[in-house]
Amino acid sequence: MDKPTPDAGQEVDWIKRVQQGEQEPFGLLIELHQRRVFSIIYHLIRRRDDVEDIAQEIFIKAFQAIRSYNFESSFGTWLSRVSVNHCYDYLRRLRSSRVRYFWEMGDEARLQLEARAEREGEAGLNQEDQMVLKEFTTKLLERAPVEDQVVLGLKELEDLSVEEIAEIMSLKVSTVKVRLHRARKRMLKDVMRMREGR
Amino acid sequence: MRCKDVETILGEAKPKSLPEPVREHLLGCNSCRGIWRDWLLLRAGFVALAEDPAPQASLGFGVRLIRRLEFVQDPGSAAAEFFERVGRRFVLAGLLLAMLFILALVLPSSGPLRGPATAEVYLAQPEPSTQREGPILGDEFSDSNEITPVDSTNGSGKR
Repeated sequence: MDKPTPDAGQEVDWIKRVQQGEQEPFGLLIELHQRRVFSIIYHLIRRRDDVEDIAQEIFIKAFQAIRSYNFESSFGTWLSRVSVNHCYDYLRRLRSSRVRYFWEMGDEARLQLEARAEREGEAGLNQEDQMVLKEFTTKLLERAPVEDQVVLGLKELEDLSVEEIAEIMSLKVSTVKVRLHRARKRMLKDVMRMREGR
Repeated sequence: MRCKDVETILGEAKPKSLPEPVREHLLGCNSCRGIWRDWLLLRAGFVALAEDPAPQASLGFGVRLIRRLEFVQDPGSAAAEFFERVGRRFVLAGLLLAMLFILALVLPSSGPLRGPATAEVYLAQPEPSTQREGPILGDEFSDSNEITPVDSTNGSGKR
């Protein structure tokens, strides 16, 4: 959050005023939630230059739909849902490009990178390795179905729990688990396919 | 352990917290070890991406957005509300008409729901007479100048 968190009552008051047609409190809601919205957009769409434009579209959409917010979930969750749905539509319009960088590496360099990733686990890769892996994972995500991109983005990049994802996507926890499992499996198959088709 | 079970666990597991039976399985199974290696590569990629900080909103983002909302809201809200209301009525009227049309097609041509409009109507019609009826009080009291039929039995047809 950019500003100190207001108490829940204050946020509810801002939302109600916006629902009655005031604009000014919406500015306060934007300041309160913009970091979260920017993070979701960036991790799902991964286009740094487009994040702000997409954030504007999301906030406008939220403003226009704010009367439908019924206080059942937190405003943050509701706004995340609007953001994820918008990103989902955006991703559907985009189409993937092929994986290049990782697969253009020589065999030896690729095997060394794999070995380092295996040995180092979650941390300790040098900056160059990280760049390569980022490129590689980004491209793989771009090739994946949009549903997989969204669910993996929320889990692996936004680091949300399965329960939080279920709430944002209005799904059952078990459904999210199944989708995650399938998404990981498809992505691993894609890695294998690329490896074999090289 | 079966490969299928191991695959499921690998997807959920953190690299340094693999259960012992899975580790043992990986030692003896090339296929699962390959999957694990790919998964570690992917996880490392995810971690690298997640650590990449999202861009910050530029200075005045909120102010610009609120200014934009002024242009978005006015034409949008009134028109949208109007079209929503009108559109909803059109849809409802359309549905009603469609339902009536379907009912008209489905219902039988006669029945309790059909009015008398299409039912057969029998009106009392005078039966056409085949024989001319004679006057009740006899010919003597008749004002008519017509000639009464001839009685053929006694041959006295003249008056």
